[in-house]
Amino acid sequence: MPETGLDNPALHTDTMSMPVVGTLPPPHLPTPLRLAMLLRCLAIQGSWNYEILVGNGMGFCIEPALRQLPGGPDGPAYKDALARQSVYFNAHPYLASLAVGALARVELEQVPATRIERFRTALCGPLGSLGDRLVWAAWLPACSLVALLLFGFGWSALGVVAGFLILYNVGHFGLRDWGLRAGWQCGLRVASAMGHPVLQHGPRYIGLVSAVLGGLALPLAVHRAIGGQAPLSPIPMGVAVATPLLAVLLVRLQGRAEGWRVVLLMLAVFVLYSVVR
Amino acid sequence: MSEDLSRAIIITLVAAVAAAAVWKDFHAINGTRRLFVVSLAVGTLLVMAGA
Repeated sequence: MPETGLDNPALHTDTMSMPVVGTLPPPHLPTPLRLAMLLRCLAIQGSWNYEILVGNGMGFCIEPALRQLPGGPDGPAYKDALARQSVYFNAHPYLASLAVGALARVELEQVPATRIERFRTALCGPLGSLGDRLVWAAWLPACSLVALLLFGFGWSALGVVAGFLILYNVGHFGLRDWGLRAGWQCGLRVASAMGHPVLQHGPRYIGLVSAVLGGLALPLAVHRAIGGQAPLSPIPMGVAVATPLLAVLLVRLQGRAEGWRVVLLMLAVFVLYSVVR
Repeated sequence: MSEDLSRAIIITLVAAVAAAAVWKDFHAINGTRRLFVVSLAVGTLLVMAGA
């Protein structure tokens, strides 16, 4: 199993030596507050920069919760907490909501600052790794393959795009919302939420489904894209033979012939051919 | 060069690049290759049946 950083001790409660704040039963998360944080999570990368990455975004997302600290938005607790939450942070943008929920709760329960900082630092690595595996390497390609399959089945361009966007965003918004709730629910025990089966085993199962989708979509989409000619005529047969050969060649030349270079070369050949002709 | 042929070349290229990209999955996840080959056969049959 790839390294996820879940073994970091700061992600687990050490109830023997530390106060139990942040691990008590979760306080009620009012719906307006949850929606405000969820909405802000959509803009978490709005102030992304090379220095603190999504640090500003984290502060922005947690800010509605911090207003409930003693003294309100003008109090020192609010200012300290906002400053603490706006420093360097790195996570997958969708799974950052898990950190937002957990950190909002520990701030409102006024866990000692040093412990919050340690906890915050420990969250960075695992959330990036889990999110990349689940979303960029599994969910996004699977949704793209579904769209390709819809195209192969003869859906219109609008239907294909709408199908992709709806399916992808069901997962996207679902993950963000789950993350916020789970983070709030777990607080300092957030490692248990990160051990959720969907996060741990989801990429593998989505990969298997993608293999099925890819196998089905490829012949159907290619057949439609080349004009729906009879499968045994020369052009479809040529495509069927050349595709696997070229794919194997690309794999063998890995590092020397990336896909974009080959496509660019082929486009250049087409342009030259049309000029010379 | 005919329109059909130039389109076929581009599609071949795109499909090959896509197939090469999923190669990583074939090696990372057990059973992916078999599933892909079986569903590829089913997809091809669907094309043949629909033609």
